[in-house]
Amino acid sequence: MIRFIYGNDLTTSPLLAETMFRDRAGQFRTRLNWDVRVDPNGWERDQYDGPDALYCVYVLPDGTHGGSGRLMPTTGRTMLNDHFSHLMGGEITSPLIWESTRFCVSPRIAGGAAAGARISTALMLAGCEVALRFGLTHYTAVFDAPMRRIYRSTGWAPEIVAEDGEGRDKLCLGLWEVSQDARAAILAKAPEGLELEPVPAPLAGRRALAQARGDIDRARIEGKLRAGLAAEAAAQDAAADATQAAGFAPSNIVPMQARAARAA
Amino acid sequence: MHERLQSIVEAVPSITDAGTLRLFLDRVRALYDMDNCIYYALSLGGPKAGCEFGAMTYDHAWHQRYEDVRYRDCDPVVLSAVGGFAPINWNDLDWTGRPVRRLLSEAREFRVGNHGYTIPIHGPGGQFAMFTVSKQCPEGDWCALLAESAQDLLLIAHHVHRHALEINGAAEPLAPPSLSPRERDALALMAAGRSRAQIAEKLKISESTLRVYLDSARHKLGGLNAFHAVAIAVKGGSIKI
Repeated sequence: MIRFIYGNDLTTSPLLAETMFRDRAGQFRTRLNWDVRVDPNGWERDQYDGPDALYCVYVLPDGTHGGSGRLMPTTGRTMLNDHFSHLMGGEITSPLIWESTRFCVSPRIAGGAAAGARISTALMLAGCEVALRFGLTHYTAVFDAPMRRIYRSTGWAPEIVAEDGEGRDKLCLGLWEVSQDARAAILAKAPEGLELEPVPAPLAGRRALAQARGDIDRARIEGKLRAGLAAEAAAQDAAADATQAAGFAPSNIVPMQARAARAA
Repeated sequence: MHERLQSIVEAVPSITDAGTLRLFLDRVRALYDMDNCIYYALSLGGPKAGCEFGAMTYDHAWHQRYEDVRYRDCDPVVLSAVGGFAPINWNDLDWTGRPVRRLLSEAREFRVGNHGYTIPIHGPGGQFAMFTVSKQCPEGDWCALLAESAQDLLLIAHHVHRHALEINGAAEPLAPPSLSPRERDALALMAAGRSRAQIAEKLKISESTLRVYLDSARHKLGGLNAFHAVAIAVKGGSIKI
């Protein structure tokens, strides 16, 4: 199953977060020997793992991380613009273009290359879904030359617009065009029965803000409720229940992580 | 660029204050078949950090009610937009809880619409604004409408926000845009009257990639479209013709 999680909401999925950051350490430091920072807990995290990052995560049946990618808009800080702008001779910034980084398949998975390919394809489909949903035109990413073959095998190959270096260590700057055709091409290669959760709205901002604001506003709202609006509110709650029962759209869909948040 | 988007984007400079912004939003609403359209900056950032600016097509009484009850403190749309940059389909939000349900039922009375889409915009210095469209319609219609408008709305949101910063004196002093050589080449060829297909061939890239160069250049230059970006680049000396 594919889940979409914002950085802010990772705390609601501790097992998934833990295994994702550990797998990233396994992939990027142990396997690829990249110069990345691994903290004392064995987590590979960088400055872009902020509250706004959107993670597409392949969740294994045991609830751990099977693979993931991290998405961010190029109107904010991006790895490409901060560290690799020499590839293009300048930055890429547009609300229609997002960056994908830390594309990772868990080194722990069983099933070898075939399983890895299945997860990669699922992740590409997830990225394409996000882009179509948000109205993006392109993704950009910087990757090592061997990834080209993997991306090609998912049915959604990037166009390489710049390269630097030689052999396996060659860095590539790729662009993916977002389209329904791209989605169809990946779908043709995607594992059957793959489940994609809907792309959620971030929830943690709500929690954090409510906390930061303290009890003042809550008290004011509740005070108003007590001070005379109580009866009205009760009547409206009843009305809301009625509209909910009648299928009034915004309230009849409760996203999965909302349920999780309430359970926590 | 799509004709509809083109006409909206060209109307952005007509916004000079909240009143003309409202007229602009009316136009977006009509062209994109929505019931309502809102641009609201909760903070213009930097020295204007505390300043708000915006307009909406909602019934004035609803705005008044919303502010009186301070619904913004519990509105799931606002709280979600504060927390991220990803566009928000109201369907995906958690609408449970007493104050929120009250907000929902009152919003219904004021014909806000049962579906909505909000694009949060965050910028340097704590800039935070939201661009929203909403509509009363069946779910299927909404999904179809959104699928065909999401990209245009994303562009319009960023155009309006940039312009709002400018007219409120909150825009960052524009650093000379750092166009990449490829972006400069693409603009220069466009200025020379070449077609996109010709430019792509000349630069040995796909038209899709050319679109990335042109859009990134347009965004950096603050152009309304690729041709406007060419004009700005020529005027600013970024490219020679």
